[in-house]
Amino acid sequence: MNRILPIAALASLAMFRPLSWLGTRPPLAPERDLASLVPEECLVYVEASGLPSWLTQGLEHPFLRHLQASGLGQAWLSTLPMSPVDGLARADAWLGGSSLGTAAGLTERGLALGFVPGTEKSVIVARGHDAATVEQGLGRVLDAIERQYGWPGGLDVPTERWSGAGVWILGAAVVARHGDLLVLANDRGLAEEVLELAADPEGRGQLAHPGFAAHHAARPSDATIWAWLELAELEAHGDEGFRKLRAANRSPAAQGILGARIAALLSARALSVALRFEGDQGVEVRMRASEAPCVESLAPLARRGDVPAEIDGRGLAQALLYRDYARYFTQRVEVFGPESLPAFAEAVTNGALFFEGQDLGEEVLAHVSPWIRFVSRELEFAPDLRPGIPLPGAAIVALLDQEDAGEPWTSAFQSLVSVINLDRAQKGQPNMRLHLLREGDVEISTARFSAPVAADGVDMRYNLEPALAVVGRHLVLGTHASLVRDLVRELSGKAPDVAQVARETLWLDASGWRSLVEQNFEALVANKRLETGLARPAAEQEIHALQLALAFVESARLELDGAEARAPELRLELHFARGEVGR
Amino acid sequence: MSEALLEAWHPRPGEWDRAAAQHLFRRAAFGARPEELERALAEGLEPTLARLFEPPTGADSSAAIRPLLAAGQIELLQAWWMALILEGGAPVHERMVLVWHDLFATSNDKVDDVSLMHAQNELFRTRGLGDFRELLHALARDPAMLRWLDGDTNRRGHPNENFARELLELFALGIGNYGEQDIREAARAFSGWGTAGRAFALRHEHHDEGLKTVFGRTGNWNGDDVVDLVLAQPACARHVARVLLEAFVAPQPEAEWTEALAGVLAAAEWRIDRALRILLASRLFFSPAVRRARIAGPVELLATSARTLGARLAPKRAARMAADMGQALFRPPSVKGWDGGRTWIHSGTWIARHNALVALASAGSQGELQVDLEAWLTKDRAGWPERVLERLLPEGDSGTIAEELRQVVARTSEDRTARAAAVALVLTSPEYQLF
Repeated sequence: MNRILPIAALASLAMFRPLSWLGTRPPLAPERDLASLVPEECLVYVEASGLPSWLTQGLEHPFLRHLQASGLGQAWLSTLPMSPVDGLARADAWLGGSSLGTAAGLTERGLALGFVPGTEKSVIVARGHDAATVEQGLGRVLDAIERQYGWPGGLDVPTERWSGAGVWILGAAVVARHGDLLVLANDRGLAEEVLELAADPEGRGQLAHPGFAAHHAARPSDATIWAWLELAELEAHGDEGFRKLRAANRSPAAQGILGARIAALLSARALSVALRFEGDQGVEVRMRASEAPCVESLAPLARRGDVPAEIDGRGLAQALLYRDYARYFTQRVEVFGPESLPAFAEAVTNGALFFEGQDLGEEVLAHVSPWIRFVSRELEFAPDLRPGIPLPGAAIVALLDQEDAGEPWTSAFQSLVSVINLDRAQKGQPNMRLHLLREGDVEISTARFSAPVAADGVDMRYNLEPALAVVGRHLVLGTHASLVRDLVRELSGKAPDVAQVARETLWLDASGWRSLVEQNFEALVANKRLETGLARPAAEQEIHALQLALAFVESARLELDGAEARAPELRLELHFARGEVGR
Repeated sequence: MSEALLEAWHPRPGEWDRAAAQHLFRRAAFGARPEELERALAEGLEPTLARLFEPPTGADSSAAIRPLLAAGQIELLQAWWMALILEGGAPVHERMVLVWHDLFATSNDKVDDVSLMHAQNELFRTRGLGDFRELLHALARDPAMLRWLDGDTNRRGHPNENFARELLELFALGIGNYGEQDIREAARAFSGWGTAGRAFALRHEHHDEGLKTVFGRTGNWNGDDVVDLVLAQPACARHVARVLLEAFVAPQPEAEWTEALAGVLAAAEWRIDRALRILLASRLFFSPAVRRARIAGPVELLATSARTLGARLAPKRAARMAADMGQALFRPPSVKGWDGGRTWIHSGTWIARHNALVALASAGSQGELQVDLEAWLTKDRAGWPERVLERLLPEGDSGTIAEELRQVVARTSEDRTARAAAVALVLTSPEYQLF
């Protein structure tokens, strides 16, 4: 995106002079879509439909006011050479009038940006209120440029005329105007294409991309920004990380962590993203895939299964996920790449050891519902056992077919601890001790290392006490006995949800995560330094920025909609923190 | 003859050149950044040696790892040490930490406690250039070493001989300078020496109070007594001298060099810094025969290359690269440490070496590897081959690299690619692997 910045900066400087010399070509139809004017070769398209409202409100926009009042905003402002108020005042003085008002007039009916990856080429297309407004605004900007460069009247006449439009060549920038249409590009060919598209009533531009029109038509009417990314073609310009993301659909690890919907979203041919601000309350991001190769047999509702009962306390994070691990095994040959099959074979063999010879996919996991709840909470530690790096606990709650199906799981858990101990004993390392706890009628199996002796630093390993319990049909597996005990208590007497209308969701408590970052600040800074080689002040600054970002947000909620298998949609809501919390 | 070997080298005009200075930095430090080398050339040998021996600046070297010790991840500790090496502060001290780590090889694979491994590393840092006798005594009580060599199971009536055996065989004397009886009796003397949590603990109830005969001397020896008896053996000074010569001079030192340095060590009352100062200033150290005579180990190769190029490596990535090349810090393959020499290079590690050095030469201005070859080289393209050779192989090459360099530069039109290809060509050459 850095390549877009120069042209955006240029847009604030280089503008257009309207004259009565034009007009040999009919004006652009008012209803003409901006997307149809941006050449198809642009693989990234961004439409800032909500920009005029922001320009009209300026710094009084609720979000900007909220941002300026927050710690995050103040930290950001402190990095700027001048305050936004001073910056606007300077821009107004340069222009000889309201810079925001002028920009609003020039973009009132929309602004779009097209970008060609792998090149430096990008273009901005805007439509103003009407030809007169654009003419006036453009005149003001060009006058200012003339004043700045001591060249009165130098920009009164366009350099060239293309497709009936007046064109100014300003260094590397090309500026063109026709009626209420403005074009700014850093490439002559791209600007010409825009004008040719504008001259052609049938020109389709971005609309020629398969799926674009439908996504564009379905975008939220109040989106501030809407973008379209041709992921399949962008892949050639991406780095190794991007290519790995694109291959998520065939990766067991990616499927296991992200699920079929998100994996498909990343592997889709194209993606639309809509960003919608709700004043100073929050922001919503919607991502919708086009031609996503979703592995339907792993996608939600492909296999019938009840949903684990709801858990009340939210903690740091809570999620409801659909992960059909049984089918990961039973359909591994069809779904995943051959390179992953040896690991599956090993897992099946090991699984048989722990589950009395049963096949992990067909006989063990097939009796577990694909709906899983995930919970993460902060933990309380005794003062002498507080780990040096206090991490939160995490647990999953799955659902078994039958109430008496839990015993093999308990047995497998205990066997696993024994095998781990055997391996550790061979290396002369201390082992984990198995304990059985009770919560009501429920037995909890747990294991932990011997407590460190007094005066020892407490390693993170003591911040691990894996535990397993079965409550009715609910199977609870967690990193800490105390968390599992709490969940057992909360789930007792609760019935699974058999309604089958669930959606995958994830909820995060930003303030809780911020508290964790604060508690582990020194460790995070040290880790950052080792990861990147940054000096301490720079590493501190990065972690501090993370703290401020977490303080700016109160909570985040992510929801996946899979009504259309090939067009999964992800919706992320960020709710901003209020008052001093955001500082 | 022996004394003359270790006489101070007084370079005649022109002898203290780029090749000599680089030799010193490659062996006594982990290479020199361009500005450090220029300063050394300008100031001469003595001031340069003095600076290399400067102790740590007083900054807490552990500050960057202490908050992470509780994570218990050896990768973090490896990265922290790599960061210290790459920073280049207190170069001889840091170099000796690696020498002692290789000699008193202790692996976290068994110790399984990053805090203990860190403490041992700091022991090498704080005492590594001091009195060897103190270092050996401290090492015998080091909890990481005690866990590594089973101190906790060494009990009266059931002695565990692991530590005693390695003390005599690998750490202080060498094969042929002790008998099995000495090991058995020394093990009895160390009985009851173990750990309590992360501290040394002497468990009297497990200590054998009987008489033991070690090296022909009988007494109710304890561990400290045995260490003293070991130190009193003439073979001990020779063993330490040989370790220093292998690390700093040549992989197979002549017997007379060993004798000479052992004599120096004794005269210096076991002060490693004094002995090393004499060695590194000696005619032997700078003699043509020993230059480029050692195959570089992964850590020194990587750190020296990065520092010579003025590059920046993210410590975690650097530690991973070194591990891929066969030297995972804190995880030596056995109690013998790394075999070194020709064993550093085989089909697997060579590919890792090649990839790491090419990645270094091809790095950009962002990310985990960063290098600015435009600043490192001259603006004049025609001068690149000579410049690359002068900076990386100042002793000269076998005659073929220069021509290959010229061809690489000539056939690569894009400057950045040409610079990277030229540097990679030299870094991956057999000549460059010799330090």
